[in-house]
Formats: sequence, structure tokens, C-alpha cells
Amino acid sequence: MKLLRLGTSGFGGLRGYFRFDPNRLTVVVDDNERGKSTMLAAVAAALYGLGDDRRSHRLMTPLERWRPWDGSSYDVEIEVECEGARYTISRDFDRCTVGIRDGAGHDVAAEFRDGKEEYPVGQKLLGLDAAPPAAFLALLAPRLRAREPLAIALAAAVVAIAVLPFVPAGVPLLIVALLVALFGWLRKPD
Amino acid sequence: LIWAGVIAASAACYGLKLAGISLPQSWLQDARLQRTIPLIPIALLAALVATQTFSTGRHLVLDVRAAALAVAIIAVLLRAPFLVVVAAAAATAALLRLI
Repeated sequence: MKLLRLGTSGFGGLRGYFRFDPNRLTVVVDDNERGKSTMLAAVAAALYGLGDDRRSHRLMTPLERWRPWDGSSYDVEIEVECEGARYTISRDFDRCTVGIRDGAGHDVAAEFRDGKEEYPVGQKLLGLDAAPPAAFLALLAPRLRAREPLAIALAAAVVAIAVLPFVPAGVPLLIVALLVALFGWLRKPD
Repeated sequence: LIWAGVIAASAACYGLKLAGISLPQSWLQDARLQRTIPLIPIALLAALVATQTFSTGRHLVLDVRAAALAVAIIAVLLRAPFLVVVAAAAATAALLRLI
């Protein structure tokens, strides 16, 4: 596989657009702390994504590590040549999206997405990711006949969404459970 | 190391079950507890619906799952059976992605 092009509007301290000649050797030379390693990390991130699992990265996950210093948008795009075909891989780390196009500009992401690191596209195509919330809703609905449970459900949903970006997976539910237990315990008897 | 974890987790699960059935009756009769307990599944289910619909990992996203949830809500309001609600939501998401 040969790297043809690398572009980023923000990746660590790196920003810009770089071309590589596939038929020549590329030597990257610059002072310390100018972003040579960041450039390598950007290529790796474009190919493999960035982990955001706090269980395996306790201090700082790769996703946090390369967040742009100046708060600009966080993405990387590379173009590679592989077995005679060209692919453009774009990843937006703010939105957690990845796009893969072939030389003719067709979206070929589906061919590549599988395994536990990537989004399960097959499941998405069947709409199966929308099934669990609907199932939970169907279980919840019979309990919402009165006004108070409905208010509690709405409040719980809002709280869970509000804290979700700031805490590890699963913690929003714990917070909601604690808050509702506290509410039930402290409120006045009817 | 893995086996130590498995055994510890098994013991913890067993202890939790045991704690549940060894609670004193007087606690369970407590009026405040009896009012509080039914609220917890409501809040948890609502939070699950919200997080699974509007997030991917730790990112908030608005995608076809929101439309699927809207369809599920309509199905629930029409008193549709459980499987119909789930199938309608999944079909909505699948169809919207096809377009």
C-alpha cells in the first residue's frame, strides 16, 4: 500500500495538506516538536481509527490525545493506492464517522466495515440498532399511564442524554438510578 | 487472573442475590421504599431508550434511530403488541437508510 495524500483540518498540532509521490522515497525532516510523529499518528488513525476505551487507556485515550490544540475540527483524510486501486479514507473524529471511497468516488465503506472496532454495518442495514430502544419503550409504556411516571421518564431521559458525553459508558444509567431513588425517598407522601 | 475475576464476580452476584432475599420484612413494608422502588425501572428504561437512540459510544448523534423511535412511540400509543413495536422501529430505520 502506498500513501498518496494526507489532509487534516486538525489533528494534535498538525493541520494542512501533504502530497507524497508514490514512486519516490519520502523523507520527513523538521525540528523537534513540529509534528513528524503526529503525521505518522494521523496516517495510522485514518487507517485504523482512534480508540476511546477508558478500560484499556486509563490516563488518556488516543481520541483525547490527538484532539486539535486550537479547538478546530478534528478530522483526517488520506488517499492510498493498494493493489492497483485507489481509496480515499476520511474520518471525522468529532462525529465519529468514517467514509471510504474508491478511485471513481463510489462509497465502498460497507466492504470494509466489520470486526469489533468498526461499526456493524449489517446490523444497521437491518435496522437492528433501532430495535432495542423500541423494545425498552414497549416495556416502559404500560408503566406510564399516570402523569407522574411520565414526568419521571422524561426527566430521566433528559438527564441521561445530558451527562452522556462526560462520563464513561453505563454511568448515565447509574446517575439516573441514584437521582430517582433520591427523589422517591425525599418527596412528600401524597 | 481471569479465573480470579470470574470467581470474584460469581461470588459478588451470589452475594447480591442473597442480600435481596435476606432483607428484613420491615424494610420492604416501609412506605417510602414502596413508593420509591416502582420509580426506578421507569427511570432506567427511559434513560436506556434515550441513550440508545441518541448516542454512539460517548457521542450524541441524531440519526434514523430517532425516526424509528417516533414510529415506536406511535405504535405504542396505538397499543400495538410488543413485537409489532420492535419490528416497526427496525423496519423504519432500515428503510430510511435505504433511501
